[in-house]
Amino acid sequence: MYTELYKLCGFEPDEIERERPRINKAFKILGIEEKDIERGENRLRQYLDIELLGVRKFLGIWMRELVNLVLAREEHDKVVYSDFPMELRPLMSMMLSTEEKDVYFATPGQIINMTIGQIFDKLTPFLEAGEENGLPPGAAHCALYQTRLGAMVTGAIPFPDLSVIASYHCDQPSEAEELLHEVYGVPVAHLDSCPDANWGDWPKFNDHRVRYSASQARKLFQTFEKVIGCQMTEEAIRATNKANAIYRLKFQQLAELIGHADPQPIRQASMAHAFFLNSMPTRDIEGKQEALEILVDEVQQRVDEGRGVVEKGAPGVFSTITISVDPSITYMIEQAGLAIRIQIPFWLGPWVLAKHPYRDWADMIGVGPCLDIPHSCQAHVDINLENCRAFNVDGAINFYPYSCREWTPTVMITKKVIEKELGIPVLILEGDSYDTRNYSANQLRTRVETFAELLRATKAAKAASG
Amino acid sequence: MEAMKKLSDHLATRLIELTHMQGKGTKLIGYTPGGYMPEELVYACGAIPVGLIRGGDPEPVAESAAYVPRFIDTFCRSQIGYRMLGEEPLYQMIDLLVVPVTDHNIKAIADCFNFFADANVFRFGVPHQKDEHAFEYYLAGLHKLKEKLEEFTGNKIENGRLRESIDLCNKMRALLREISLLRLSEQPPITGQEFVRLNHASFVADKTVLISVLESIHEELKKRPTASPKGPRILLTGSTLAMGDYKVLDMTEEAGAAIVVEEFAEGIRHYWENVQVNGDLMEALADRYFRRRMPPAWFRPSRERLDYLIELAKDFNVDGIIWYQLMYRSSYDIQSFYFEKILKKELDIPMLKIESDYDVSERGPLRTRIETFVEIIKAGGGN
Repeated sequence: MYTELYKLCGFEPDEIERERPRINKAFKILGIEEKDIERGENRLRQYLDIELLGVRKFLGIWMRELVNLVLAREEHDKVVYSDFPMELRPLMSMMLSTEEKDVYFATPGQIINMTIGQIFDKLTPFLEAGEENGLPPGAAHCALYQTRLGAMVTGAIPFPDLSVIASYHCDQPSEAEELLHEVYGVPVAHLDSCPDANWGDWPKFNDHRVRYSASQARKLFQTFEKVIGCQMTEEAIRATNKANAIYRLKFQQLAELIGHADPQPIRQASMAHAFFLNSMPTRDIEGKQEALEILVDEVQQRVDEGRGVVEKGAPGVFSTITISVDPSITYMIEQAGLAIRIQIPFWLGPWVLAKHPYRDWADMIGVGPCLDIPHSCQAHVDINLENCRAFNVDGAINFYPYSCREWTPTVMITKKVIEKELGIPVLILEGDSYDTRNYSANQLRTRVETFAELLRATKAAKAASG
Repeated sequence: MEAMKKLSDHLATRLIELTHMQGKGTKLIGYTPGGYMPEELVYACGAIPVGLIRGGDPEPVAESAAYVPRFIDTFCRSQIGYRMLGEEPLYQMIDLLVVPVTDHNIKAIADCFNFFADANVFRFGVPHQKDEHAFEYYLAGLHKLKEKLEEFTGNKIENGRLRESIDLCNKMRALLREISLLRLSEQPPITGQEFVRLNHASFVADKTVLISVLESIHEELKKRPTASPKGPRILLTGSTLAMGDYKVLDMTEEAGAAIVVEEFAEGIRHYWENVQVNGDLMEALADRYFRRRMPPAWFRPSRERLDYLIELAKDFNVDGIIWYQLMYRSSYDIQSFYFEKILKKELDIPMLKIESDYDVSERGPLRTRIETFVEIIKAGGGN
């Protein structure tokens, strides 16, 4: 019943046959039925550039990980979890220090959201289970962590032997992990930091902060070695650095290619699967690298041929929508005739690529929170501004996930700064990255269409005045 | 009590007094009242610390919506609202706001004061766990704060002056502790409401006046037979108990229960620990304000706070716990889920979790829930 779906996800027929027993078992545990598969096929065709092999291959990586995740307990001795927004490098280096048959690594919240959520649109049972088990509704808890918890307590995925989490983006991951520890006895390790930069400090490093985060990274590695019973290796660290750099730079190339093209050559929703592999520790490193190279070539071909998903000359916008579950918002924006040039945090600006003096592995992990959005509110705002500048947009759509404590305080400030500095309008939309129950694209459509009209009129007026 | 009247009179004229002092060049240093800002450093550079702890009013919450989305803790939105409304003089008067950054809710106050009010703001970090690296980080933050205060006031913080300030604050905390401990008795001579108001006064009042008042109150209370009804004994805990947010205290005491001890992340000054002045004074401050301060719900592991609450409940022989949290303070919401189970297992006493967004429409349902909770305890139920 799922052969066509798996073909859409880049699987070859022989692989589907080979994997059928595992897929059957996983789908049974997850409660995936024929109607879900039909819905999934329809959503893939509607929202994604499914005709591109690169997009299909990325979908395949996520679908493989879904089955791996569900069957992790019976197929591996140990299971280690983390989740977005934890940086990939520490996870990947831990993962590569172990044998695949022994230890399974995953960011289960991301996997569940990108597959059960985005493809099958079937997250509600997990969300409700998370809500009933410590992350109640109506309190703006992060739905990523609700689905993650919900998937564990319903038995869809196993509880891990260790969960490692970062608390420097926001407070919720560590708070949710403490619940996991206190209620279910899961050992947890936190990568702590303090977002205490003063206004005006950005983009300077705070050496104390880097050293503190580094000390926490070392602790995290020690906990990993103790609980999982293996040593972090230099080889794994080198392999991580190399693979991570190659992938990120290639993704950067893709983001710039799309951002500077007219017409917009690919739907933004089709980028999400590639982007989130920046933080999901799959062992299929070659597979994701190959998928990205194919996608870059395919997009380049569209650009060369002048093909696009939005009309040429359409007003360009910067968008803060990170699509995990819901591809309908960016789809609606594109249907309204706006070209989404760039999404945060797709583009690595000069701030991330800046040289820093830290060479020790833990220090290099520690410098992470100081390089980017977690640095400070001012960093968040300035990065938004620089994205608008770099891609010369006509307006910005600041869609903020209401449950994100890192994001919400910056919303009004970002609007003021972009409007003042660049003289372009900013539309604020409220929604969520993971839980689609409380908003919809249709609710927001009128505002987006009006905004699109405003941008078209402004662009036309500018063109007329020369 | 006569001393209470003296304190009330002092607070009534405190703003005028602060205005005069500011006119003569004394700096007013505001701070967020999470218990991580050593007032001693402010006194030692000749400035005056004032805690921004106003809360409970719906208007500032509504006003804050123009500056920050509603999904931030109510108290933190209130602080932004008070400043932007311009109706609460202290929020306009402060020369510098010091924000120990504990979580993203508190950080939002600093960001909005910086950007929308163009205020002077100084942040320093509070790590979320207590190893030696965290201690060093907090200590480094205190050193930066010291430098900032010296630069801002033009006065060097000398050890002698700092020691005097520590003595002053230690004395205040010791008196608050002595008064609080009187509530160990079967029928406490001071109500929860009275104690909380004393505690809140300590964020604004002149310390010398306050100490004199606390000494008198302590003496008076030793002779005062009882103030609280002989009803269920309640531990009140949660995220923030702000000055002006007295509805839960009112409703609980009106229902016939006695609040005998409080534990909050913000708004209640921590008085159990004092600064030990043997050795480096900055380290002594970090030891008191970070290492020995009972952590809030956003600390890891969360057990230290939960075990502490269990101990408090035992020591003060409480019959139930009211967990009072503000909207969108996720750490408290999550922790309440498993604390209730731990409490049931360890002490077999009931807990009532209530939540507020400083909205007047909450009052009716809140009263019903509190009254029911107290009645259940009185009837011997709930455990």
